Amino acid sequence: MSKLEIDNRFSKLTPSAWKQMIQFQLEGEDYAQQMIFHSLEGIDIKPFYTEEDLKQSIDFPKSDWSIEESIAVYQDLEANKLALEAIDLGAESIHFKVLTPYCNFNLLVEGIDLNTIKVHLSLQQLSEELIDRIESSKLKQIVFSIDPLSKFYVTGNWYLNQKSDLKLLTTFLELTEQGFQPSLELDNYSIAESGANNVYQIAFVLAHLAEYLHYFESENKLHLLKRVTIKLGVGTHFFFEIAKVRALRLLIPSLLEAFDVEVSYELSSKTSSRYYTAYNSVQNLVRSSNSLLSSVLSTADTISGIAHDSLIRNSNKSSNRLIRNQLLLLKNEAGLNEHHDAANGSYYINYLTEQFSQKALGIFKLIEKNQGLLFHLKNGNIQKEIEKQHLKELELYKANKEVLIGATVFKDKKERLKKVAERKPFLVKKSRKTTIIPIVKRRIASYWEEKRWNHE
Amino acid sequence: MSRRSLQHIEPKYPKSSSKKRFDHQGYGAGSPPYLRGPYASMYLNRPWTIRQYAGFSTAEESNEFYKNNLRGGQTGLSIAFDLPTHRGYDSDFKNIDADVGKSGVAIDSIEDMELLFDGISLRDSSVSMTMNGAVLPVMAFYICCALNQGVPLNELRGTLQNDILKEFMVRNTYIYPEKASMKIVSDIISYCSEHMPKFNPISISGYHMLEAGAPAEVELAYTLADGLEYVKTALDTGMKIDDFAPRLSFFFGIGMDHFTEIAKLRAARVLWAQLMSEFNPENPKSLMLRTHCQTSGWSLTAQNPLNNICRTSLEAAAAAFGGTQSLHTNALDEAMTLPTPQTAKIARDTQLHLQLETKITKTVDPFGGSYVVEQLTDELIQKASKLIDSIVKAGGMTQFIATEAPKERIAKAAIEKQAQIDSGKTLIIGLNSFTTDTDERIKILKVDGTKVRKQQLARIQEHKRIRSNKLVDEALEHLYLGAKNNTDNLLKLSIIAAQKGATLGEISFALERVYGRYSAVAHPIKGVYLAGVKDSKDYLEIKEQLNDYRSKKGRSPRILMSKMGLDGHDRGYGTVASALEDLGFEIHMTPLFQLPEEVAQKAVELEVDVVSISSLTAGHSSLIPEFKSSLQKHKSQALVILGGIIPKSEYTELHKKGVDLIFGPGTNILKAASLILKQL
Repeated sequence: MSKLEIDNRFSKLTPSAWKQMIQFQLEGEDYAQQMIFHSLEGIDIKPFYTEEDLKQSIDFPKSDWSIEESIAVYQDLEANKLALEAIDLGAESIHFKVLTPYCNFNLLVEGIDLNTIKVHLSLQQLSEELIDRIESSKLKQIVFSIDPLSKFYVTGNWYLNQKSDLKLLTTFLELTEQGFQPSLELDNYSIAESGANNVYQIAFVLAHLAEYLHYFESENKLHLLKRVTIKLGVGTHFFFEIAKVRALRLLIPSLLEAFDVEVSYELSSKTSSRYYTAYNSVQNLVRSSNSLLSSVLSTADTISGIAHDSLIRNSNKSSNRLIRNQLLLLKNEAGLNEHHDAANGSYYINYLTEQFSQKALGIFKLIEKNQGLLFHLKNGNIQKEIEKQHLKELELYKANKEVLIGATVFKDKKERLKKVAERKPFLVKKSRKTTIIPIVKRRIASYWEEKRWNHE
Repeated sequence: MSRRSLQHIEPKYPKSSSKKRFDHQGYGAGSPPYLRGPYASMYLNRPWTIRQYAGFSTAEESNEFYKNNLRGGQTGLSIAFDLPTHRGYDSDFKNIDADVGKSGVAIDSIEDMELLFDGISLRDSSVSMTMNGAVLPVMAFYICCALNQGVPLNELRGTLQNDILKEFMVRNTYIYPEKASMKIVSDIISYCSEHMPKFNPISISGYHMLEAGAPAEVELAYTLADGLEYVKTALDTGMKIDDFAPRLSFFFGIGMDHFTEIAKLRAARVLWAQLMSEFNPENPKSLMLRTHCQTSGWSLTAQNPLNNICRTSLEAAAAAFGGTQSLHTNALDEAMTLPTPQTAKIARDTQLHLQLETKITKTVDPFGGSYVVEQLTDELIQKASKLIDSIVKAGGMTQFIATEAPKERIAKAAIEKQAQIDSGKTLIIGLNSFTTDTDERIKILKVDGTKVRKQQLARIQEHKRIRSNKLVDEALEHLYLGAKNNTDNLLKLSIIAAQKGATLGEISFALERVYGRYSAVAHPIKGVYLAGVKDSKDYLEIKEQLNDYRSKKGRSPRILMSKMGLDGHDRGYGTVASALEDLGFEIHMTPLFQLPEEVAQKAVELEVDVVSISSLTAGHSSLIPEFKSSLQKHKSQALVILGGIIPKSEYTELHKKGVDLIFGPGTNILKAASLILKQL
C-alpha cells in the first residue's frame, strides 16, 4: 500500500466542505455562535485551520533552551550553596535576584563553572556604589541586569527618581566598555501576573523596550546597549502562550531595527502564578507541566517555573526540585530536543502568532503615538487598562464560563489551609506613598480562596 | 526628550527555508481518511471522554470508587478486573488466593456485576471493560445486569476490549488457544452488531505493545494488522463490512515521545481508512478509526513519584493533540501500586485541566501543518505500511503470531531500551540521573486479599445455594455443545447460562472442556542487551566477578527465573532473563502462571544457585511464604530474589519471610547482577 494509493483513494477536504460538514452536524444551530471562540485578546478562533490559512512560514533559527533556576539572594553564601545544589541537580542557568545591597558577587558565583553555566545577576537596587562593586568584582563572564522602569511600575516609585535612575542606568551600561556584560532587563513577568491579556503583554514589552531605546537615543548612548533580557510570565492557555513568545520574536527585531541598533536579546519564560490555586495546590504541578511545555515550543531561551506550593509554603528544596525536574523531563524524556521548532508550520499557531503580533503592534503604536509608556503609566491609563482586562477575565470565572480546578470547580471541601500554610496566599496591601499607581499581581483564584480561607 | 516615530514598523519575519509538503496534508477531519480527527468539529462539539480504568477488591468497593469518580468530573467508566476473573477462575478456585481482588475487581457471578453497577445507570453510563480471556461470562453478566436494570440492549453504550490476538504477543491473559479465541471474538462482534448497535464489541489494542516495549511503528502496524484479522474473521461468518466495522474501536498507549505520539494517532487513522477501503464499505464510518488512549505506565518511575504527574500530563496532552476519543491518565503511584483516591483525583484532574483550563479544545488538530508533526506522520505511515504488508504476506496476524516473531520483536526493543537506560545513554530523571538520597514517600493503597477472598467465597457459596443447579448444568451443557459442534453463538449461550446462575469459572470451564487451556513457553533473547552495555564500566566489573565465580565453582551461576500466580506481565521477566544470560549467567525460565511448589521443585531439579521471582500485581505477599516453605521442604539453599512492583514498606517483612534480595521498579540490571554475585 503505497502513499500514491492513499492519495488516489481519498480526496482533499476543502475548507468550505469541512465547514459544510460542521454546519450539517449543527442541525440548524448558529455556526459562528457554536464554533467560533472569541478570545480575551479579541481574536476569533475558528474550529479548524488549513494550508489556506498559512500565509508565511515562521522559521526561527535553531537554538537551545536552558533550564533556569531563579534564586532570591538575601545572603550571598547561602544563595551560592543553593545555586551549586541546583546545578548538581540539573540547572543550566542561574538567575540570581539580588535583594541585598551587601552581596559579594564573587562569593555568590564561587564554584560555579562560568564556562558551562549561564549566570545572570538581576540587581534589585541601583546606586553608584553598586556599580563600583560590579567593577571591582571583575566578573566579566556573567550578565548583570537592571530594570528601573519595572521597579517604577511594580512599586510605584523609582529607586531614587527618574532622572537619577536613568543616569545610573547609563553608567551601568558603560561597563560594556570595560568588557563587562551589563544587560537591560525588561521584567514583564509582573504584567502577566497582573491580568493583562497576551496581546497587551506583548505590546507592553515593546513599549517598555521602546522607552529605554528612546532615552538612550536622546542621550546619544544607544551604542552602549548590547544586551536585553526579557522576563515573561507564562500562563496556562497553551497555544496562546506559544504564540505570545513567537510574536515577540517577530516584533522585537523590527523595533531594534527602527533604532538601528544591534542588540542581542534573550526571552526568559517563567510560569505565572495567575492561574495557580492555593487550595489543591498539587494541581499546580499539572498546570506548570503544560506551561513549561508551551514555553519550550514557544522558542523561549531560558525557562523556569515556580513551585506548585509557592503560594502557601516558603521556598523549599523539594518543591524547587520538582519544578526543575519537569524541565529536565521535557529536555531528556519527551524527545522535544530531537526536533527543531515543532510549532513551525502549524496552521493554528501561525495564525495566532500573526494575529497577536498585528494586534499588539496596533496597541504599541497607539501608546507610542501618545507619548509612550512612561507617560501612560504616570497618568494611570495603563494601570486602568490592565485592571479592566483583569476584571473582564475574572467575570468569566464568576459566570462559570471559565473554571479553575480545585478553586471554582471540583473543590475538595474538606481541605483546610489556614493552620498548615507557612504564608498567606493573598496579596498583602501595604499602605505607602507612591508616585504612580503600582501594577499589582492578581491571582484569579484569590477571589474564591480568600473567602474560603476566612471561613475556615 | 524627542521621540523617534515608530509608526512604520511591521513584524519582521525570519528567512524561511523551503520545507517539504506531504501529500496527506490536504486531508481533514470528519471525512476519510480522517487524518486530523474522526469528527469534523472534534472537541468543540464534545471533548474526549475522561475514562479512568479502575477497579479493586470487591464489587462494593469498586462501585463506591466509581461513584466518587463520576461525582468528581469523570465522564465514563472503565472496569479493571482481577487476574482470576481474567483467566476464567472463580474466587474459590484452588491455588489462586494470592490474586483475588488484587489488581482489579473480582467478578464471579451476575450478582457481583449487579453490585458493581449498583446505583449507576447502564442506560446513561458508557462502560468500558478490559477483558480478553473470560470475555463471554463477563459480557454475559453485563448484559444480564443491564436487562435487570430495565435497559434495552440497543441502548447500551460502551466498549469490550475483547482483543485476544495481542494477548498472545504481550499481555498473556488468554485462556484458550488462538483459533478458539478468534471464534469467541467473532461471536461477540456478531451478537453486538445484531443486538447492541451502540456498543463497541472490540477495542483493538496497541497499548500493551507500547508498554511491552514496541516502538511507535510496531505498535501501529501490529495493532492495525490485528484489526484486519478481526475484520476478516467477522466477514468469514457472513457479516457485511458495514454491519460491524463502524463499531470497531481502538486503544493506543501514549508514551513520552511527544510529537511521535501525536503523529501516531494521525497516522493510525489514515492507515486504517486505507486498509478498510479495500473492503469497499458503503458507510464512511467503516473507514473511521476511533480510539481510546492511556498514558504509559512504563514511563512512570517509583523513584520521585511526583515527577510522574508531569510525565502523565505531557502524555495526556499528546493524546489530546493526536485526537483521542477517550483517555485514561495514570495515577502517579501506578508504578508501585493501585491508585489511592488522592492520586486518582490528580490523574483525573490532569484531564480536566486540559479540557477546561488550557483552551486546547478550541480548534481541531492544533498541530496540523507543523513540519515536525507532518513529517513524523508521514514516516509512521510509511514504516507501518511496510510492516503491515509483510504481515499480510505472511498470511495474516494469527499466523504471524504463531511464528513468535512479533513477540520477539517487541521483546528485543524492550531489552534495547533497558540496556540504554542501564548504560546511561537514555536518561530517566530521578532514576538514573539527577537523583537524590531523599526518598519521596507516598501513601500506598493496600488491598486486604484475605478479607476480599472471604467476602467473595461467602457470596459465591450463597449464590450457588439459592440457584437451581439443574438449570445451570443444562445451560452449561448447551454451551459446551454449542462450542463443540460450532452450532450457536457462544455469547447468546453464555447469557442464558448466566441468567440461570452459572458462575464465571463454570462458563469458562465449559469452554475449556472443548478448547483446552493455552500455555506459552518463555525463553531469553540473546545478544541484544550485551550490545547495549558492553562498553560500560559496570559490565566490565561484572565480567571480572563472574570470572572469579567460575574459577571457584567451575561453572556459571545458575538462576531459575519464575513467575508465580496469575500475573502475566512479562516485559520485566523476559528483559531481566535476557540481560542476565547475556552477562554470563546460566538462565532457566519457568512458564508463566506457576504454583510456588512447581517453582521450588524445578529449582531443586536444576540445582540452581538463585531463584528469581517476578511479581507485578501484589501476589507476592502470599506467594512468597508458600514458595519459601516448599523450598525448605526440598532442603534447597538457593538465594531467593524478588523483583517487580514491590512497595518499599514491604521490604522488611519480605526479608523476614526469606527473600534475600529485592529489586524494585527501575532497577539497573548491571547493578543488580553485581549485587547477586556478591551474595553468592
